[in-house]
This record gives sequence, C-alpha cells and structure tokens, in this order.
Amino acid sequence: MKSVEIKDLTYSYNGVDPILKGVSLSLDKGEYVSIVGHNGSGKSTLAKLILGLLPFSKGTIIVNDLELNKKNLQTIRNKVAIVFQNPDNQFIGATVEDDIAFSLENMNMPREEMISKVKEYASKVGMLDYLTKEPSYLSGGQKQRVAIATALVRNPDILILDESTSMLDPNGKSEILSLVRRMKIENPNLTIISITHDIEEAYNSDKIILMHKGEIVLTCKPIELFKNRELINKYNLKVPFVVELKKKLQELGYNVTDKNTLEELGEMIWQSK
Amino acid sequence: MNNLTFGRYVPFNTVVHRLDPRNKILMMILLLVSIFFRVSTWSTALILTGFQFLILIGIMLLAHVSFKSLFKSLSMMWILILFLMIIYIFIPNPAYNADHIAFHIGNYAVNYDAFVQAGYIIFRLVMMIMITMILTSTTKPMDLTYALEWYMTPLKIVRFPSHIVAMTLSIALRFIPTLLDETQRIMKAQSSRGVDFNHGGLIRRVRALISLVIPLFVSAISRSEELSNAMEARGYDPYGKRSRYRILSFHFVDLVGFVFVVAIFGAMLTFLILDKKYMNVDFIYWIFHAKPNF
Ligand SMILES: Nc1ncnc2c1ncn2[C@@H]1O[C@H](COP(=O)(O)OP(=O)(O)O)[C@@H](O)[C@H]1O
Ligand SMILES: [Mg+2]
Repeated sequence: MKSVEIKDLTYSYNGVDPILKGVSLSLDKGEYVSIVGHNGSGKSTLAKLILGLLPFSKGTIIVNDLELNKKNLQTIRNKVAIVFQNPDNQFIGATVEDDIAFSLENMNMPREEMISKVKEYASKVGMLDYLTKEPSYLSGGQKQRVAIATALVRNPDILILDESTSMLDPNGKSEILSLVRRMKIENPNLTIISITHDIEEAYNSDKIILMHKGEIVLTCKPIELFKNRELINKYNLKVPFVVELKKKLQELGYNVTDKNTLEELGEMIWQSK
Repeated sequence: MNNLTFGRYVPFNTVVHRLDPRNKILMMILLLVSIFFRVSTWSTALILTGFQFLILIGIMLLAHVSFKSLFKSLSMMWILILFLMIIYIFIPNPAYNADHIAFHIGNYAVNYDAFVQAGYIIFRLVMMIMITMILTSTTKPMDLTYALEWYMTPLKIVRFPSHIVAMTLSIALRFIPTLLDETQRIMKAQSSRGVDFNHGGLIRRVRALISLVIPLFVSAISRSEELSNAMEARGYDPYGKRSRYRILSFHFVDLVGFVFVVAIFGAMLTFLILDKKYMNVDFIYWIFHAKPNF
C-alpha cells in the first residue's frame, strides 16, 4: 500500500517564483525516507504541503489513498504528524503534560483517556518525570522529545521530521535519532519522512530523495547515491564515514564492493594481514 | 529583571495553592473592594484595617508567600508614597479640622489630617499589593486563564469567542519567558556590534532601543507563523469541538474560604452603611498637643 503519493506538484508562495516545480514521489507504507538538499530547495515547503498547511492548485497529493482536498483535510491531518526544527516554537502547552494533551484535546478525546495517553507517551519518550515542567526548564533535546510525543500520541501513519535535530547538540541529536528508531521498531507501519542535513542518518534510511532548486533530482537507495561520485560532486554532498572509508580502502587495493557497513569493513580489516 | 520576580508563581502545595482559581479571583475582588470601603472614625478604621492586615499576614504565612519579595516590591513604592504625601499636604481639603495644625510652610498651614489620610491610603495600597501577590504567587498563570475563560462563558451567548481569547492569552503567557530570553540574546548581539543600551542621551538611547525592538518584532512574527503551523498540524481547529485536559473543581475548602471572605466583606459593608461621618483624627492631635495636667 502506498503511504504518500505526489503527482506533478507545483507551488509558489507569491504566484510568481515557483518554489516546487512538478514534484512527484511515491512512498510505501513503513518506509524511512530521508529528504536531503540545500537550504531553500523547497523541502520544508513540501512537508507543509503534505500537511495541508499551504493551499496548492497544481498537482495532487494522496495520503493513505485519500486525495488531499478541503473535504479530507482533517482526516489526513489526523494521520500525518510533524516535528519542526525549532523546539520552542512548537511547544504550545504550559507544561509537558499540557503540551501532549493539546494534541489530544484537538481530537476531542475524553479526559480519562487523555490522562492515560499523556502518561503513556511521556514515558515512551522518557519524559515521565517532567510532566509538570515548563518548557523553560527543559533542554532543547527534551523539548524535541516532547514534540515527538505530541506527534506520536495522535497515532499517525506518517511522521515528518523537518530538521528536527538541527538545533540540538550532538547528545540531543543522537538521543532523538535513537528515539525515532525505537518508535519505528515499535510501530513498523509508521512511514517516516526525515528532512535532514545529517548524512549519516540519511545513509541509514531506506530511501533518499535529493532535492535541488524545487525539483527532485534523484530518488534511490542510499548506497546507490553514494556510489555515484559525479552526483556527489555535482550537488556538493557530504559523504558518510563508511563510504569515505570504503573509498580509502579501495585505493589501498582492498576489494570492498559488497561491504556496506562499518561492521563488515571492520571484519575485513582485522582478517586481512 | 528583579521586579519581574514580583508575584511570580511559587510552586508550593498549600491549601491556598489548591483553591479553585475561579474562587480565588472572586475572593480577591471581594477583599480588594472591602479594603477600599471608608469607615468613619479613626479608631474603627484602625481596628478594622488592622484586623484585615493581620488576616492577610496570616494568609501569606499559610500560603508561604515570601515577605522578602513583598518588601522588595514595596521598596519600589516610595515614589508613590512621597507623591501621595505631597498631594495630601498641598491640596486643601475643607473637611480637614482647622484646629489640627501640625506646622506651617510659609503661610500655608499643614494639617495633621493630611498625614493621616495619606498614611491610611498608603496602608491600604500595601494591602492591595499583598492581596494580588497572594493570588499570583499561589496560582499558575495558566489556571488564571482557565478561570477567566470560565467567567467569560456567559459571553458565548453573544458569540464572544471566549475559548479563543483564553487560548491566545495562554499562548501569550507561555511565550513570555521565551521572548525575554530572545530580548537578552538580541541585546547581547547588538551590544557586541557596539550598541550601548545604558549610556548616552535620550536620542541615543531611543536609537539603541529601536535596534532591539525591530529584530524582536521580526523574530516574534516569524515565531508566530511557525507556532500557528505547529498548532494546525496538530489538528487545532478553533471552531471545532475540543475536549479539556484541565478541569477546575470547587472543593469544600473553597466553600470555607469563600464564606470567610464574604464574612469579612459583609462586616466592612455594615460599617460602611451604618457609619457615614467624616473620619475624626482628634486622637492624633491629642497625642501631640494635649498638655498633661498633673
Ligand atoms: N512563508 C514563505 N513565504 C515566501 N517564501 C517562502 C516562505 N517560506 C519559504 N519561502 C521560500 O521558499 C524557498 C524554499 O524554502 P524551504 O521550503 O523552507 O526550503 P528548505 O526547507 O529546503 O530549506 C526559499 O527560497 C524560501 O525563501
Ligand atoms: Mg527547511
């Protein structure tokens, strides 16, 4: 089953300069997709369009086999959740529990159910001890964990992460990434669309979508993208450590064509003399 | 930054903290009004106001409201005190007893009544500050918002969007610390570019302020856009049906507190109605001018 299908989507904020130019993509249920590309290439705009936050006239967006239009807007929004970049600007409640509850209040969930859901999701993201804390007492990483709880508590089919870790320190970053991975294991049907500059994260996803100036220039498996030196140079991409290491080993005369993880390469290194 | 701590919510778990915020607002209004009832004779006023004062001290102790921060906020009041004194001294009041002259400034006779009146009003202002401090330091701003929303519910009949107003208020409250941080950040950034916020004449200072205010507004506007996106993405529909996580509940202690406050209010009201003479300060005059006759 398809999770998200976009056909020929064109969008412009001011009606003159197109920000997205005929974008088409198709994501399977349960896929972990990374969208990479330089600032201003239209990644966030694409995410907002999928959520129905921006009105578009050219192209179609289909989420869970439902076409995004006025009639289906709320139904689709209930199935798509997003975590934005800035931890402060998406913390709406006064405290952690209020913020998680805000998502549920919007679904008109009965209070008793809300109370148990708030606890359940706060503990999933490791924030149970902070339920009554205000955002000013929390670190950026903690706030983003709460943001993930507020997104997942609505039980979405699709989770979009729009540079959710880019304002965090390395610790906060790896905390969030491992949290997302854990959530993915818990719910394998969750489709994750991660807009990211973190090339290691992108390398570990199922699929990479490369955007450039409002167009999707490439959709493929991460390994294939990083095999292609020409593309890497053309779009000035960073290269994950494994790929870099592979290249160095190749230059030293090792045969590494079928080795794609650090473990495999490590194995090979200690076995060779 | 220090005066911002005035009346900030302090998380204790006292009876006063646990009271229903709707009830607390109502009780605060009753107490404030009763303080400004005028009673006639000096002795009744002293006794009644003193009695109220003691009750307020009692509540402050009960609610762990810090006296230190009360004094801090009072220390900022001395200008007001001076101002009131001057007003009372120099604005002639025909009701003052012409015999009660304390001293002359040039040809102008200063009356004892003036000091008493000024002192009395200042005392009541202090009590007013105490009352508001008790309310704000024992009630979360958010709970105050919920209470206000509750008081606004009747307005729904005339289609007043009280829930939207409450949501707006609560978001404003939620973002005060964030925007304060932002202000500090921008001030530091501008200082490092050579803007001086503390020295210079009026024009220079206003210029410095503009270099703070404009970036602050720009960032607040972009924040608000992201915030509205985040709210919409999480399914917020101001006109849709929403359930509530926070509920306010009126307990037995609320009733006890309310009856207590109504009793005070009633007592003051009785004095106000029964006793309409002008306050008599013979007593003060007597302290300074009576000659012991032994
Ligand atoms: N609200 C907006 N109004 C007008 N232009 C915008 C708005 N948001 C983004 N843009 C423009 O759209 C382009 C793509 O932005 P964005 O989707 O945020 O890119 P990315 O997330 O890939 O960095 C940028 O050139 C940006 O200036
Ligand atoms: Mg972006």
